[in-house]
Amino acid sequence: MEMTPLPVVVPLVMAAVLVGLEAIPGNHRLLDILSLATALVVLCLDLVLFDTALTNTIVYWFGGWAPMGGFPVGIAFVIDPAGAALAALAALLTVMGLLFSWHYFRAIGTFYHSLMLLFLASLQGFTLTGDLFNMFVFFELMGVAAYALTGYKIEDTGPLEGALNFSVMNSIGAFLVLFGIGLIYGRTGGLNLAWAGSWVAKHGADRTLLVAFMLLVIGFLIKGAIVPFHFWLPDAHAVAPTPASMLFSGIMVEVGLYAVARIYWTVFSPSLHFLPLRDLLLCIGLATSLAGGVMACLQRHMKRLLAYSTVSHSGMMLAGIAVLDSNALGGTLLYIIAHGMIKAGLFIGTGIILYHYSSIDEEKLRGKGCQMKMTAFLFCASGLALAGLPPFATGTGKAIIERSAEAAGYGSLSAVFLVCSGLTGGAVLRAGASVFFGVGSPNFMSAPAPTSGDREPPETTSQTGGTPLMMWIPFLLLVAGAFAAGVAPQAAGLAAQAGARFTDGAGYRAAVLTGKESMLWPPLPSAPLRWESGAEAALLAVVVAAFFLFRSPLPDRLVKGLKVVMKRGLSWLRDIHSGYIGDYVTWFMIGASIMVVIAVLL
Amino acid sequence: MRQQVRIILFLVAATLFGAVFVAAMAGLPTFGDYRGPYGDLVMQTVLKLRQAQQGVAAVTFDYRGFDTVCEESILFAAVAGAMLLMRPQESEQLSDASDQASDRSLPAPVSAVIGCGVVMFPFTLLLGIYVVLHGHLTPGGGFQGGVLLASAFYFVYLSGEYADLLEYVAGHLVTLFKVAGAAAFALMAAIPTLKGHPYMLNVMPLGKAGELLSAGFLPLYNCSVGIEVAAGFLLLLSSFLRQVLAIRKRRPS
Amino acid sequence: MNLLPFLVTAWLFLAGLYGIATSRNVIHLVSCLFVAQSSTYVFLLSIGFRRQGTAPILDELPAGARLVDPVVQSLALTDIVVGATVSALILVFALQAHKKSGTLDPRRAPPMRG
Repeated sequence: MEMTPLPVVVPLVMAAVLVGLEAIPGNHRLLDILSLATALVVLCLDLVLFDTALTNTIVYWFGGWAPMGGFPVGIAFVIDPAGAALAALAALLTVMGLLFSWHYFRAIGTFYHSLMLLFLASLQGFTLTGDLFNMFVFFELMGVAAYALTGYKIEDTGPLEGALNFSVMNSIGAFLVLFGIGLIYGRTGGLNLAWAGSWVAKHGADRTLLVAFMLLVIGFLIKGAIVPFHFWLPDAHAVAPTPASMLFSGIMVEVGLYAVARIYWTVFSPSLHFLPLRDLLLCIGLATSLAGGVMACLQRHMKRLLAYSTVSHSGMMLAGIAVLDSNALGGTLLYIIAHGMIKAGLFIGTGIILYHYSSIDEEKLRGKGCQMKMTAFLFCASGLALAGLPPFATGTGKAIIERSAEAAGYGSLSAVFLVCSGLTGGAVLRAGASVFFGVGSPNFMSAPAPTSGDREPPETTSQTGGTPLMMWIPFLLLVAGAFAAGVAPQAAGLAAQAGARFTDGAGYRAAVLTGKESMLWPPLPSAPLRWESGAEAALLAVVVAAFFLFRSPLPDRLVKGLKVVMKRGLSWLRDIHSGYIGDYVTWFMIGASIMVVIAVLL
Repeated sequence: MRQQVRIILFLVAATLFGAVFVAAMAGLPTFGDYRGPYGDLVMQTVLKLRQAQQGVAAVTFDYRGFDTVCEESILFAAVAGAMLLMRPQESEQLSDASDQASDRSLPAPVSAVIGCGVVMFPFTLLLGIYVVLHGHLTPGGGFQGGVLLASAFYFVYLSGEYADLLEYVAGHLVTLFKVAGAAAFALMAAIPTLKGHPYMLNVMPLGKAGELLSAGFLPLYNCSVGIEVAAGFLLLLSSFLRQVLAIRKRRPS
Repeated sequence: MNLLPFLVTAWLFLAGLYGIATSRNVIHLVSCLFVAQSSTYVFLLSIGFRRQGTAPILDELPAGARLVDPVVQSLALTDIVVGATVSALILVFALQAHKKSGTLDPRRAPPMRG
């Protein structure tokens, strides 16, 4: 298709044009409109690509460099439904972020729009490309735009430190990705995913390729914020401007996981030992979701709370991928899309609070937000949706993953999912109830958090009157979108098809290298979805929120003992999130060494 | 974590990681025995298909040219980001770039340094232009030449005053150069799409290998990259200098 | 001898990371990151090296000349540009943070933790 490169090229060119337009004074509305229009165009292109990719995998050779004698000498975009769907999610969230920032940055307004568009272009390219090194280049473009956006508020040290930790950790991840690419190139002679995959299918994966795979996985899991590589995430996501946080949590972390899945299925799926890898990824995924869930409950800085909930959900998504099953992957895709919308909406919620009160400290704002009816409603609905309340698509996605996991003999996954959904949803509901309804009092878990979020630098110049329309409209649209995705009867079927196409490594390789189409209709699983699990998680979330907000009905002595025991563990957990880059690198080294050793033993 | 604990943990983990990593690299073809086929395929076809003789430039701008479009955007994003982050904080203001130390007088510029700068500036500029223009024939290209072009202006700063450099970087001219460089590359690459060809297809007349105007789009790509790199590094230099020399704490009024 | 470039790669990478883990100055930290990055240059270039190989330029080549791989050189070029730009950005973070907090030591009590 001729329009295939446009989702990347259009925002790249527009970013340059917008920098040129900065010179004209008093033009911030022009910049807003142009950037919004660009993001909308990209969204439409992505939807067309998604529609086309449903029938055929789109293969587009840049420069007309089609494979020579079966060897790919050029760079290809290879678009299947899953990649196109993630690209569309990125464009959607960018549109919403730019809508939200309609009232933003009037005072500074330098390069913000260009960086957002460059970030969008990188997300597009990363999800659409079929070339390893091209993936790395987009990974770096994503990084550079994201670092600059993270440090946007230079009036405060928090954003600068957060950006430093973010950029150093992600650069290290990029080195590992490069090592992995180099090893694959040295061994197979090519940089194209399909080529490397067909080489591995023919010759098998030896130790070098296994280590290469693990290095790529580690590098991308740093982006995906998986324990023990997750430390940078709360530092960065909590301090970035709201529209940037929306994109970071809603899609950037997820594309790290996408890359892991993409590389596994296109390159290694036929020849890698299946079970140990599944166990390894499941373990770290579930550990991540538990750690993130607990840490989310320990926060009073609302954006940091949301950032930890992203860590938790990222772990759940990795677990969904780690089931290594096409249906589970489809469920994960649906979950990523729904979670992206809900989480972006929640960040808009905190952005609105910040707009009104110049603070996002849950304790200080208790009861301040009683006037904001609309925001309160949307915020609490999002909290429930985050826990997976049906019919939000988060619930659907989670139920699909759980069904596949049970079929594969991992029934315990459902229990962990339940706990983590309850913890993150509960933390969000607690914050919402405190701020918007004024219930509860400082509790022993979140009140002593060292980062309070009081006196955040404001993102706007003036804050008078009610919430501007342009702020809560995107919030409403995002929540409605997650709801619609859950209600729409086709969603689950599309997800299953996207998952089946994604996991069909042989079909992918054939489409790229020989141009052969392989139509594949997924076997639909017979077991019905357990819708109740979402409702149970939402109920648990309400219970968790209530536990924090109200006096517990347990006897006082028991509660006291519980507090002492929990404090020990919790303060240790708090301490290791030290905000110091030296610690983060050490944790990275420990995690990476364990994982590469496992790769050799595989 | 205590420093000692951290060091011990790190060293243990690093030893393990290093051992596995080296063992993995040992599984590659022996050092000095590159087997291909990618590079060999490129070198066999580059002359016939593209009338180009410089393999690296052909890979960078043609075979894998799309990487370079994105790479140039990375540079663009980094410079935009650095300028965004180096705006004066609210508590700061721009002031004259003068030496504000009260306890020493301004050293007089040394004539030898000025002389060197005057000699080196045009020479470096010329070398930069040469490297950019011949990027598709000899080692070098837009990136390397662009850095040379930017460093020519470093001589202006070294031999003169910050103010002299500012004159060159003044206004939005350099920014516009940078924008033009970045946009031109992506737009030139889009020309083939107007005729329904794939993006980045080398549709320019190819010429004859070894001549200045050969290899189709390659010299043009090199020029646009050279302009963008030079302008980008110049902007970075002037922003950093501005931080050190011209931005001061706002005086309490 | 055949392992030497790979040993250098691993050594540069790990030495750079060690520097980051123990650094007491952000400028030093950025330099260490660059040391770690340079390991990737060594690695990429050594993959495509060919003994007695010459530069991949087809001008006036003797017949049957061996050429080193141009692809890894192109990749290394991209990598270098990326490294330079990222370190420029990190230096800006260090500079602005220094203005605010008056120190370059990354071990001071960080604003975001817990």
